[in-house]
Amino acid sequence: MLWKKDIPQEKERFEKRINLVAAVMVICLAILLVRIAWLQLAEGERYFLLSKNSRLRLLPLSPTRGLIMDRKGEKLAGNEARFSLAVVPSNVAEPDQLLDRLSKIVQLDKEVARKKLLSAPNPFRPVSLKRNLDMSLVTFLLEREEDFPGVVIVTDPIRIYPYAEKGSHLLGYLGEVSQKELSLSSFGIEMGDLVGKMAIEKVYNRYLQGEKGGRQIEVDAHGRPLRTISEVDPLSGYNIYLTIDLEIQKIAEEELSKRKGAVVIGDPHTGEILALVSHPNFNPNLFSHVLSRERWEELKNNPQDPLENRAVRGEYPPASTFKIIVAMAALETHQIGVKDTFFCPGYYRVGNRTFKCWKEYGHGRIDLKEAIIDSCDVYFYQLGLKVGVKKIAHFANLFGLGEPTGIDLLSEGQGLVPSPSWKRENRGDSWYHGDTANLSIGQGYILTTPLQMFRVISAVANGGYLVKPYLVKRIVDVDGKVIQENSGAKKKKIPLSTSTLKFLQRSLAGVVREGTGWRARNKTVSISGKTGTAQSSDEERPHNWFLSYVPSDKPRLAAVVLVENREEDISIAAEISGRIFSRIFEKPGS
Amino acid sequence: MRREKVTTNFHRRCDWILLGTTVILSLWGIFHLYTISFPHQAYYFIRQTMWVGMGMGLLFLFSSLKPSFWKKASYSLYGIFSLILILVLIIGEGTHGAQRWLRVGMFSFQPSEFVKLSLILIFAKILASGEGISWVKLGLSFSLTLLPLVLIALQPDMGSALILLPLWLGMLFLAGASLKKMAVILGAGISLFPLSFFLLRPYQKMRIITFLNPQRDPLGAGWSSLQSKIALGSGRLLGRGMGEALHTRLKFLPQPYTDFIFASSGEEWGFIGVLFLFTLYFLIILRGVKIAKETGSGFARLVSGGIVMLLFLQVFINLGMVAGMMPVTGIPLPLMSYGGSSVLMFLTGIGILISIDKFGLKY
Repeated sequence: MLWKKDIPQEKERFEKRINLVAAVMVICLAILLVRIAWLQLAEGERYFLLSKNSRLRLLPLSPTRGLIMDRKGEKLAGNEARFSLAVVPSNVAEPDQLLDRLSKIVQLDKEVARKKLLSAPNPFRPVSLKRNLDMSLVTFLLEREEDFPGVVIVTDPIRIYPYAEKGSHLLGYLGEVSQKELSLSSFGIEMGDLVGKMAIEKVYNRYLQGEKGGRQIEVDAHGRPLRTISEVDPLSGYNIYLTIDLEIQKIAEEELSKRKGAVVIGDPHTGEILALVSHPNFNPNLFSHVLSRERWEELKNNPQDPLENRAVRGEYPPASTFKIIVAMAALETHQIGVKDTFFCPGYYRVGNRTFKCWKEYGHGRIDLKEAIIDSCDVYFYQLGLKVGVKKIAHFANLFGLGEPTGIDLLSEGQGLVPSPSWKRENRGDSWYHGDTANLSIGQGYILTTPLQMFRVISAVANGGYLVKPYLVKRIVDVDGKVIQENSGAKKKKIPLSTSTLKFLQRSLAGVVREGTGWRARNKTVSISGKTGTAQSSDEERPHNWFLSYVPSDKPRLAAVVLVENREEDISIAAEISGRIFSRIFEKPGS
Repeated sequence: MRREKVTTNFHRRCDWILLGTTVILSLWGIFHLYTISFPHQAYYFIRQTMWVGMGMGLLFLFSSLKPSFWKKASYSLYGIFSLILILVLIIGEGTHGAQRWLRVGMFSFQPSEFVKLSLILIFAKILASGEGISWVKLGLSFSLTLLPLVLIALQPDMGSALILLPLWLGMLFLAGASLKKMAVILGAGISLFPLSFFLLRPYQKMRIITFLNPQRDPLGAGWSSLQSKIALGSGRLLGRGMGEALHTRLKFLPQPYTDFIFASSGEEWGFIGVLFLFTLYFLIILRGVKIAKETGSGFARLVSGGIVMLLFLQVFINLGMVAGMMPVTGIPLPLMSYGGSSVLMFLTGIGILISIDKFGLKY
C-alpha cells in the first residue's frame, strides 16, 4: 500500500512540534532528577537516619523457626521461649564497668560480650548476651533494674531437641551466625541471629529460618519509644518432615549402643533414609544456650570425635563387602562362569608376597557362590587378578563408589576408588598385582563411606538401580501447604544382567543362612547380607561391616552397620543388624 | 535526514542503541527483583524473567513487521481490546477491590495496558489521514478515547484511565492541531476538573488530599508516599548495597516489586543507580524522537511519537509518585516494574519503533 506523499511543510511542522515535546520531556525528567538528587544527596542523611535509628526505628521481630519432624510427624526439633539477658548499647555509659558487675552474677565471657556490644549494628536494639536465664536470676535482675542501666530481660526462642543425642548428626544444631557466614550473606540474616550450623539445620536453614518482621516505632530524643507506627508480622519458617522413622532410629541407636560406628537404614527402592546413626554423638541442646568456650573446645577436641558424622563422612576400607562388586564385575565381563572354581589352600602367592585367607587351612576347591558365602579371600585374589583393576574400578564407579552420594547433608566423604593412574599421580609408584589382590578383597587404598555402601546393597536389593539417598520428605508452610516434596524418583539403572543380580541375591541369602553372616539370623525375618572385616592398621582392631536387606525375597529395607575397632571377636555388625531387623519386624503394622 | 535513506528504500540495520538500552533496562529490572526478594521467594523474579523472555520474542517479531500492518490492524485491535475491557468488568479478577485482570489459562492479563497501544495506533491512523485536524477528527478521536477511559475507570483504575487524556492531547499536538483548538480543549478540561472530584471514590480523594499534605496522617494514606521517600532518600549517593535495602526488605515500603520498584532500587544503589536508570530512559526517549523525525510517513511518525510519549508519561508519573511529587496512582514504571502486561506492551512498542526505523520510507 502506498501512503500519502509526504508534504514538506507538514513534516517541518511535525519536527518543530516533536522538538518542543522532546524539550518538555527532557525538562520534566530533569526536574525529577533534581528532586531525587535532593532527596538522596541533600536530605539523604536525614532519611537514612529516619530509616535506621533516628526518630523512626525498625525493630526486627524474629520469626519462629520451622519444626523438624520425623516421617510420622514426631517432633525432633522445636522451639521454646526462654529469658535472655540483653543490653541496649546506647543506654550504657561504661560498658566495661557494667560487664564487670554482670560477670559477678552470671557466667559471661567478658571479651566476647564487649565485642558484641561495641560492634552492634543498631545501638538501640537489645543485644542478647546470655540466653536461657534461670527464673531466680530473672527476678533478681528485674528487682535491681536501677543498678544495671541498659540491661533488659527479653524473651528469645531457643531450639529444643526433645530426643537430645538421638539423631544429633542428622539434625545438627544452631549457633550464632559467624562473620564468614554473614559475609556470604544469605539475605535477611544479621549479627546475633541463630542459624543452623550442621546437617539438616544448616542445609535447610533458609527454609527453616522464616522471615523477619519488623516494628516501626517513633522514639523521642532519648530513644524512648513514643508509639508504634506500624508492624509487619514475622513469617514462621517452613516445617520439615524427614524420611527418618523415629522408632527405627531409636532401635538402631540402642542396638549400636556405646560402640563407635554408624548405622544407615533405608528404603532400597527410593533411597529414603529411615535411620542414620553415628556414634559417639552429642547433645545439640547444649548449643542452644550460648555455649561456653571450654565446652566447645571440649567437644571439638574430643579424640572420639563426637561431632563427626561417621555414616556420611567416615571413610573406611569396605573389606569383604567389596566382593559383591568384584563378583559382579567378573560375571558381567564373562571372566568366569558361576560353576568355575578356584583352589584355596589358605594362602596365595603374588610375586614374592604371600596373601593369606582369613581361614588358616583354606577352603579347598570352591565355586563363586561358596566363595561369597564363606567370604574366601584366596578365591577373590585369583578372581580379581583375572578381572583386572580397570574393570573392578569401573564397576565400583558404576555403584557410586568414589563419589558423593548426593544426600542432602553438607560435606560428605567421597571415598576413593584406586586405579593405576591414581597411584602414579598420588603415590608416585606403579600398580602391582599385589595391589589388585588387595583391592579384590576391599583392602589397600580403597575407601568407602557407610552411606556409599548403602547404595551398593540397595542396588543389589532393588534389581540394579543406583538410588540417591535423601533425608527430607516434605517441606510445608505453617498452614500445611506443601512447598517441596521429595519422592526419590532420581535413580540410575546400572547396566547389569538379571542373571548376575539373581545369582548375587541368592548368594547373599546364603551368607546369612549358612555362611559368615550367620549371626544375623533370627526368627522374625529373612535377611540377606555380606560381612566385612577391615584391617585399618596393624595396631588397631579391625572395623566390622555388615551390609544387608530384608526380607530376602521381597526387599523392603536395606541397612549398613559399621563398628569401628570392634571389641568383640565375633561378627558384631551382623549380630546388630539381625537384632535391629527383628525388632522392627516384630512390631505389629511395621 | 540521512542521504542513503532517500536514495535506498531497503532495510537499514536496526537501531542497536535503542535495542541495547531496552535489553539492559529489562535485565536490570529482573536483576533488581532478584536482589530484593529472598532466595526462596523467587516468584517475582522467575515470572518476570518469563515475561521479559516472551516480550523479547514479541519485540523481535514486530521489529521485522512492516508498520503498515499496524495501520491496517488498528481498528480491529481497538475493537478487540475494548471488548476485552467490557469482559473484564463482567468476569475479571482483581486485587484490593478492583477488577483489572483477565485470566487466560495460568496467566492473568491486564488489558488496560494493551488498550494504550491500540489507542496510539488508532489516533495515528485518524489524525494522519487527510489534511489538517478538523473538529470532526478531534471529536472522533476523543470519543474513541472516552470509551476505554470510562471502562477502565469503572474497574476502577483511575490512574490508567486518566493517562489516556494527556496521551490523546499530546498526539493531537504532534499531529498539528492548531494552537487555538488546543487552547479550547485545555480550557474545557480545566473548567470540568472540579466536577470530576465528585466522581472519584473515597480512597482516590484521600490519595489526592494526602498527597497535598503527606504529614497529615503518616499512619494512613500518606504512608506509601512517606515510606517511598524514606526508602529512596536513605540510599544516598552510593546506596545501601545489593540486598541491603532494609526499608524495602522489612516491607515498610509498599509494593516494592511493582509501583515502588524505583524507590527500592534507589535504596539499594543510591543516586549512582538513579543516574544509570535515568540515562537509559533518556536514551530510549531520544532515540524514539529521532526515529519519529526521520520516518517518512505521517502514520509512522505519529505512532513513534505516541509510543515515546506514553513511555515518558508513565516514567514521569511513576517517578513523580516515588519521589513524592505526585499522588499515588499505581502506574507501573515502564520495563522495570513487575508485571507481564506492562512488560509485553512496552516491548511490543519498542519493537514497532525499531521496525519503523528499519523500514525507513518503504511501506
